Amino acid sequence: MNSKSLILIVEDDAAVRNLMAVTLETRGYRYHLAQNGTEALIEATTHQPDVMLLDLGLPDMDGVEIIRKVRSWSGMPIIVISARSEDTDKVEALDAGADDYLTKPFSVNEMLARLRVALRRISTDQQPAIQENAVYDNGSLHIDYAAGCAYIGDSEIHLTPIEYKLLCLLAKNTGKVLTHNYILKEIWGSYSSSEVGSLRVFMAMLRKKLQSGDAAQPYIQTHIGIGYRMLRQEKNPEEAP
Amino acid sequence: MPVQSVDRERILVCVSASPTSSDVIRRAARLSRSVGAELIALYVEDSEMQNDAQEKAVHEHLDMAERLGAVITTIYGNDPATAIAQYARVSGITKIVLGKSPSKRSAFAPRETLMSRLNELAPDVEIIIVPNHLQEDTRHFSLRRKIQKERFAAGDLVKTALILALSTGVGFLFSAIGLAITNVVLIYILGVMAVALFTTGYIYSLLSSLLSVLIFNFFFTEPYYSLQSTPDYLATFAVMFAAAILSSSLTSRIKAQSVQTANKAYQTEVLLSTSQLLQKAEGKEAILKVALRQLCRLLEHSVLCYDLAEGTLSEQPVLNEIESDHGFDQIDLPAEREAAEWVGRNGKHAGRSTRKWSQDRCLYMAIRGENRVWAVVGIRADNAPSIDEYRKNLLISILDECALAIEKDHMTREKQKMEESARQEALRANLLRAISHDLRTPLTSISGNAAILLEDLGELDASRKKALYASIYDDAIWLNGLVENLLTITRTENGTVQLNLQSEMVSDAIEEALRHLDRNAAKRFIATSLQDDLLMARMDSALIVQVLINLINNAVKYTPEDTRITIGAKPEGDMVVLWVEDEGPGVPEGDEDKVFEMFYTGVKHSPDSRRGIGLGLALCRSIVQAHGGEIKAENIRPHGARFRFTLPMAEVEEYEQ
Repeated sequence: MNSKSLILIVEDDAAVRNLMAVTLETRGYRYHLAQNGTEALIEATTHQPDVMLLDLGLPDMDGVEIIRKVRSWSGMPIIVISARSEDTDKVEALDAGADDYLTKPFSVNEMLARLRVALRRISTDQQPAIQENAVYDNGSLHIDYAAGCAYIGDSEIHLTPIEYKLLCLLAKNTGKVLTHNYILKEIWGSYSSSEVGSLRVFMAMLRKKLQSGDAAQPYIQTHIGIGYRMLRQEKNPEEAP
Repeated sequence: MPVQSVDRERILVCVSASPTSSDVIRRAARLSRSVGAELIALYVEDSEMQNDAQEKAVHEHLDMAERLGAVITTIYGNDPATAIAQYARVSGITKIVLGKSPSKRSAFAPRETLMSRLNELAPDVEIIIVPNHLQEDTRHFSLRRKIQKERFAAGDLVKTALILALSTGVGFLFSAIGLAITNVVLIYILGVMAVALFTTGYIYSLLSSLLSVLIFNFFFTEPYYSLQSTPDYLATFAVMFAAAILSSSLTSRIKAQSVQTANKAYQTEVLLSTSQLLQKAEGKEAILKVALRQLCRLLEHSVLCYDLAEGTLSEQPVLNEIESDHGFDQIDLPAEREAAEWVGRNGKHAGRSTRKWSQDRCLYMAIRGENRVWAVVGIRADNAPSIDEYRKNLLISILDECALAIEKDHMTREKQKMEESARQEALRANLLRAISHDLRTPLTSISGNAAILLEDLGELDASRKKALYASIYDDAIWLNGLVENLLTITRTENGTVQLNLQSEMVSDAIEEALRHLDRNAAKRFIATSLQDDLLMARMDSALIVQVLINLINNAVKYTPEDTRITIGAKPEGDMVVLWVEDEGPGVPEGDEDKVFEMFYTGVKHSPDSRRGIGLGLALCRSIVQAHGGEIKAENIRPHGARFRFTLPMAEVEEYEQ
């Protein structure tokens, strides 16, 4: 993994900022610090960090506003950190373009795990071949876009058209938390609360079908009240934190 | 005999339309002032129709009496003496002031007898006669009145003729079949009664009495077909005439009384329904609306109402208009606002028919409570029918009742508010006490352990250090859980909770809850048992996850290590049942409901119960209830507790297109 990745920490609370900085340092990451939204935007433009860890409750600016601004020129992974346990804040941030979220209090291990997911996403995204690829590989999951088929290992999994569309959407956004809202818009083209129920059922079925192959970690992670995420699986578990 | 005991003298003055009446009232007022007595102005209204001039005179007199400080009372009765005596008896009157001319005259109660009859009927009451200088005028007045009153109406005349013709026809029939002539006399008397019943005014009865005698004479007495008759029949004629007049007078009186009774019954009904409706109405606005509607029914005038809050009238009045007086369309209400505002400040009447703003087209009256004015009512009073004293009294009593209702409503609300805030206060105080006590314990432990680690100069071995770190971590996590619950409590307890209800997979909720458990949970075997992977329920996921976390942590807290905790869910009717089962000692017998009360903290000696402020389960209950479900605790065999709660099942639409 790229241990020289540059992380931008945007956090106004000194103790938490310190905790995050120390954690990153011990894991061999480089980092920059910003105490407020203005500093965050300056740091983001001047140093072009690989990942941004963004606290939503900043004194000078709404965190969601920062996400929108950054998204106007960069696709860098943004992980939001929220003390508010309200789901709506997270959903708003995710819909604005954030990739992932952490709720305070979080454990440092959790933070590191999310960072790895985000970094993995940019490393795969940066291989232009994969972007255009007609196939998708993730652990033992294999999708043949051209044929419209999905496989676990060597055996094909039988998916309904909607399940297949969902799988493709999640696969193309591997590592990113997709909100219910976003998924409904992408797949059904509209949003209505009555469809959220069906989305749950489709997802449950899809997860079940994917899981039947290997019993290890699920490919699709459920974030209750928020959305779903496709996790990148390691074929051969390599690095340990 | 006075029924009521009196500690203060009560003087009754009889009001009439007579011009002398004002003089009588003034004298009575002077008398009452001099002896410090209460003055009551009594007007006996009878069934006889009155002309406008008379009505106006009575109004003027009553108004004057009111200005002089009298309480106005109107009663109904055809015999003033009895009515006055009755009233005097029941209301404990000590003196009656009368004019020399009677307040009421009628053919059957000659005026000379009013005083003597009163004396007879109410011997305990002192009667004061005010001498009268206007006797002549009075007589003229009444004479004119009689003439004015009787107007001929073609319809009534036709009716009279028809009835007489019918009587004559029946008379011929009777004599043809040989019945006695007396039967014919009776038929005519019957006819006269019928005339009295179907026509208005004495004149037709008189006319028909006279005509009956003449026709009877003409057709049925010898010599037939002439108005001559033998002296024998003269007596018959006289008796017949007298009987006809008497019966017609009785009939017309009964008729008038029935109209009056109907009127009064209607007004009583309005009054009664007003009380009922006012009692049912909740809130000032509703009460005022009811009062307006009832006033409108009673008075048959359009009415309006300004609400009065903190000394200022509402911008726009509430209107209750009726067709017959064209509502308030042509009335410049803003211009009359001044009068309404004055009424609001002073609680007295103003506007039309009063002395202040008498050119205004509405009469303004206050809905006045114990010590404040609640609202101002305006009555369109610039056209007929004018509001007579009786209805004015009803009007005032409706306004009073309305004020009472508003006051009661206001007090109930105040009381509710106070009780609510007292309850909240008590809750808050309890909460604060419990929290401040329970926050200190983990904080002491965290700071203490951290201090030991900071001051460590190498004498602590690795395992001791690790134990201290773990303790700090546990306490911090515990504190976080507490804060989470407190936040949710403030959200649910102050009633502002807005459930974000979604159809969620029950399995997702359980999975999420298992991710946020105490570290101690790792020392138990936690299993899930789901009958249906696709079971869905309507829930606010964040809140239900917290319910599950609280229940599982609770199970962890009260059970020994290495025991099993099972989380399950299954459909049951149109609900989903979720449960958390443990193998601990169970819930103390009889406490199955109490565990959900705030600050309940279970048995003190249970293994892990070093602290806990009994918020968790109370919170669970309020969350589950907000979802429309219920939560229960029960013991299971051989030992252990089961907490189960229900949620409405989610209907899922077509699963595949």
